[in-house]
Amino acid sequence: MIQLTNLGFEYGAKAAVFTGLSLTIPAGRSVGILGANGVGKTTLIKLLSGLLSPTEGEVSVLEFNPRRRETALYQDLYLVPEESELPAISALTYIKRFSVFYPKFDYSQCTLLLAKFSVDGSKKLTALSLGQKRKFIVAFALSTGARVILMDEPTNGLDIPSKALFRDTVIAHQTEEQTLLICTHQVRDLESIIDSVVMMNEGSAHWFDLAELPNRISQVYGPVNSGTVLHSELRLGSPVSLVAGGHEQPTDIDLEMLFNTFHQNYPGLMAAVAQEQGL
Amino acid sequence: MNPTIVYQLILAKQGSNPKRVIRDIGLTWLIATAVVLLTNIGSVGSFDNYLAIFGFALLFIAQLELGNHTFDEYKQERSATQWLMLPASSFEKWLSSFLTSFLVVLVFLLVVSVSTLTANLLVSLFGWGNLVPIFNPFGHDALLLLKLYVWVHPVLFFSAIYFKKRPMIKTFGALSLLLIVWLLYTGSLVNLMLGDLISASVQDFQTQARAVEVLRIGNFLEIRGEDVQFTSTLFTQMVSTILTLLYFSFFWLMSFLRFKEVEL
Repeated sequence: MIQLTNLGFEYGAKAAVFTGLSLTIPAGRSVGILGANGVGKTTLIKLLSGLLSPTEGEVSVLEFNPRRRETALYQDLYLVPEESELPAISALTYIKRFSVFYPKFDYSQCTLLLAKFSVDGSKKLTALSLGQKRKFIVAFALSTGARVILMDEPTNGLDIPSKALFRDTVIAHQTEEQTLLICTHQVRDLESIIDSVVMMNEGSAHWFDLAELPNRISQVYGPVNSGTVLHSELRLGSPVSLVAGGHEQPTDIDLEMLFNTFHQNYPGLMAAVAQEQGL
Repeated sequence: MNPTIVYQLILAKQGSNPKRVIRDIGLTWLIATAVVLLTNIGSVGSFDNYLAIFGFALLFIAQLELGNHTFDEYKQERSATQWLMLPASSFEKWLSSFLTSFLVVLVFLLVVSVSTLTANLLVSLFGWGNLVPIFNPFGHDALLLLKLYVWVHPVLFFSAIYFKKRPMIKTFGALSLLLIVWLLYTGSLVNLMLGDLISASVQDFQTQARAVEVLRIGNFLEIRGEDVQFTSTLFTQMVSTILTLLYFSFFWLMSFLRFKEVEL
């Protein structure tokens, strides 16, 4: 369980990244964090991992305040940073040295994942390519047994087959009690992994359950005959719209459409979601 | 505080860069051997000479190791994330660095001992002067070096976490500045206390001092013609103990607080 209450953060007096973010993410979900550049996705990840202090509001991760940096929290919280410097030791030595800090670490799963990712365990980490390093860190993260795994742009540096492998591996190895928060610009990389999404802009953030969302809004191809159009755009010359209200046969919601609606018609989207929920 | 976690942190830190550890030990061994040999060839030296040189070498190595390698994992953002998020408390992380910093001197003493053995081997092989006394890493001289290290440790350890970039140069600069300020302060204090005596020439002062044999200031400072001595009294012992405790606890506590600040 992750909870943000009126969360605000600013770098210096006049550089507010965001203010008043409030949301709750239930446990055991795969969540994509989407937002425009500079909206504070990485800052949010750092706040959740206790690397930054909020300038206002509160953060709670697994009922811990991350800023207290408690050992018990870090045994259950792992961050895959966007950039990391790995030591000049082999992957297997790294696992031996650092796995001891995670009581639920699964060594056999880790070596299995390394083999799946074609990462040579005997090779020095500094000698691996960027993509190989990312795969190694993801394999390590999934093996820690942490209940919350934060990933900041995990698919950066991965080639197309590796992205597919990454998606398959995450789906196959995420446990029921594990919550994944994946922050990315590359929406398409996430679509098959995530079951919910956090959309962010400067003033607000909202958690959408992608399974529930089609009951509240619909994606309509072609002209819209009824309902309130929340957002519309042309795709290959044909209009595609997000419309308030569900259909008898729920439609898939395109994440890019949802993202654009969130940014261009936030009040309308929120009203549609709230109305359908009977709030 | 979990001692096992502290031990694992030490292993993780040292095991993350085994090449550096081996390289530094090798370099110290080579330099110490060269110093022993050169001093031995230059003069038929007694072991006291080596001790002074080893003292300087220890200070240099201590500053190099503590300044450049202690806490370095927390100074680069890319590596810091990994270390900051390791499941261990701030105290355990600080303590692992603290304990590791004392390995420096222990390794140094062993390496110096090996260096004297190596020097003897070379002397025997090539007939370069006399044999060198073997440095005993558990003997009296080693204890003196250990004491020297312990005394400089609080300042160097604090500066290792305080200065993010080029800690060695900054520490040396800051210590030099402190020394100058301290000398000026001491000079002015002596001038204030003994101004009348010193206003005459040094020769007059010595004559005067000799005439009365011992000049006493309070009941703890004695000035003779030859030297200045602090008389050990209960008061001076208490003051020196308190000052020593303050010195160690101040810098070690500050290093911990600074580490916490870096973490936050």
